[in-house]
Amino acid sequence: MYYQYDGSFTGFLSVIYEAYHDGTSHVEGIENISAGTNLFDEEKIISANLDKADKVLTGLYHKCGAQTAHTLYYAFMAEQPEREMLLFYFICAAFRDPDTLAKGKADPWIGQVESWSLKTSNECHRMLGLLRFSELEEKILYAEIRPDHNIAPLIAGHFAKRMAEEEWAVHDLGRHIVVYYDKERILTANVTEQEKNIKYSPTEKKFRSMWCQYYRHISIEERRNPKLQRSFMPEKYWPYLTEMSKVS
Amino acid sequence: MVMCMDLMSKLGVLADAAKYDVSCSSSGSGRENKPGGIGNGARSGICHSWSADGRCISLLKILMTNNCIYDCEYCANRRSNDIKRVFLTPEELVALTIQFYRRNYIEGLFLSSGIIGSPDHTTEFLIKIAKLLRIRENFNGYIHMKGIPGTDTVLLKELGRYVDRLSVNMELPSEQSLQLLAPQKTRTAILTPMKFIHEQFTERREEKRLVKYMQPFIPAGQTTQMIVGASKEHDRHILKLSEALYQKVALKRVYYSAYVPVMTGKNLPAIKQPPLLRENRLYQADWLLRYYHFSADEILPEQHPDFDLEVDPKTNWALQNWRVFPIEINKAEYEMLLRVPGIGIQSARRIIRTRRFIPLSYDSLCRTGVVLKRARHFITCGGHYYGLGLDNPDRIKKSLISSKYQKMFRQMSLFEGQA
Ligand code: SF4
Repeated sequence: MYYQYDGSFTGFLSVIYEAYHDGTSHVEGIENISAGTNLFDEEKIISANLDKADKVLTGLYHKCGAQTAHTLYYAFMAEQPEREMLLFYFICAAFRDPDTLAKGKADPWIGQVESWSLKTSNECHRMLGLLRFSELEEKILYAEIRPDHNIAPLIAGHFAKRMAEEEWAVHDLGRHIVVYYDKERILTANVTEQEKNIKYSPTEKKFRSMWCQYYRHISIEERRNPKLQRSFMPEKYWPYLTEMSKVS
Repeated sequence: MVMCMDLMSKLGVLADAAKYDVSCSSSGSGRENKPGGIGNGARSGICHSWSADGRCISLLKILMTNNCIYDCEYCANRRSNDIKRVFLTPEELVALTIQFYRRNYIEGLFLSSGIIGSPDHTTEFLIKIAKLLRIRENFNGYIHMKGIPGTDTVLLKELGRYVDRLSVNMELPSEQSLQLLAPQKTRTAILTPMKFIHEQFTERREEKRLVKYMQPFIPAGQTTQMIVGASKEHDRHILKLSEALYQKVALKRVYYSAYVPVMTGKNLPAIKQPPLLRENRLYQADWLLRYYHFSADEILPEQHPDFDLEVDPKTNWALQNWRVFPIEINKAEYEMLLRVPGIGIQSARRIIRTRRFIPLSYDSLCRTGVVLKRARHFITCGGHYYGLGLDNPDRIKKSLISSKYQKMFRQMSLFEGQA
């Protein structure tokens, strides 16, 4: 049996739920519906269902612990090609043996899932530092990012705690996802059109140039080391960093 | 606009004046945000950017003023130096901190200052700024402030209530050097606040056990900084001082700052480049003190009071003490494993864990993270030796400082990538 789902984590877990009830040995493939291929006759389209997804995740959590559930989520969010079947394998292995993750490296597939999850975590941590907000009209804070992995939903909690009294939005330009916080809740939405006409607050420019000024002056000329700088702060992040953009 | 330009140039001058301070760490404080407030601490610290010298930027590191009544010879802010003097008002500093923080440029503020009027007078300003941030703005991000030598302990206690970290700079490693280069500072004026902060810290921790909701006194602890290469002390002297500071006042970190010759003076050394490699060796040795169970006397014995710049201190120790090697990987104690060049804390632990079940072979060793290139000369695996022969430590040394290693040392992060 081939399953199709909407590409979301909830959708994916719903597939797992269905597959479990259909009998897991039938699973021949799981694919993202947006991939568009429709080659197979025996296809089952699964819609994302929160309750079903929740059952799977809670089950995994109780049986194997938080670390395994976390690894699954983060590995999924790494958005690697053909992640579905490998993650399906991971879940089956985990339900069979709750210690699967601990044994880790011995099984190259489990190791692969773990390394995806680690990649996502690393980028999350990096982005907590490298994300830059700009103040728009009406004091909304707005950040543009273009991460390798789908981390916008994962870092939102950090900012919600830290800036609980601010209204802010993080826009993943590559995935067309906006995570928005309205001082109470975190909401995630797909955006089709890109806002070209961003209106900044009157003082935004001033603080940006202050930051650039500070950034230039805090460096010690005698210790200049661009290679080292680049190794910590890869160039792919520069276009969205206030201090690295040419016009300040 | 004039105001704004003014603030711009002040920011430049005072960031310039603060940049030689090494620490930019924002770790160690798990302060939580409060209702209606802004900010919290990230226990492991967050780096927000890296400047062109490859150092992490985590805090707005700045001086309140570069005006100073003291005349430290190595410092551009010294009284006798003819430069433009500027001052950031408490309101300006608060606005910069909050506005930078909201935009996720920084984790918080690291404020230091030249001395205006008197140490007490200066500290009163610092307290005012800390209070404005914590109370009026309800700011719960990271605050690190400098304790000014000679400040009244009552004021230090007040300041300590609001900040996450308080540090007093050691500046120079001996009383003589202080007299020579920083004549208004004395060892006592520096050590007294350090001891006081330590006492407060311990006292409050005791009390906190009884009263659960009490704010800890400087939750991220105290650190200090020493300038390396502006005065004549041997490396051994500096390292022994650090060791004493870790033991007696429980410092979190000692930072070493390679002297950058910004000033010329009759008592200053005539150097062109800051002694970066020496600074790096000090950090490595400091690491050995704190995590590898080494003592300063072992790393730099009296007969060799300075670092060998060609090899790192641990390798140097091993080469000097080659008689204790090789050690058997499957038998040696944890402390001894740590002393093998190429074996770190992680790999030592892994070796201990693995060998409980299966004896380690040379091939399986690389999977534990051991750098065999270095370690092979100092170990045996199941009785077999794979190195160049310990009867000739010089040959081992040469092989370890191949051009590749030299390059690696040069590129090594000199300040470490701390957050
Ligand atoms: S006290 Fe000495 S080191 Fe500090 S600012 Fe004044 S002159 Fe410079």
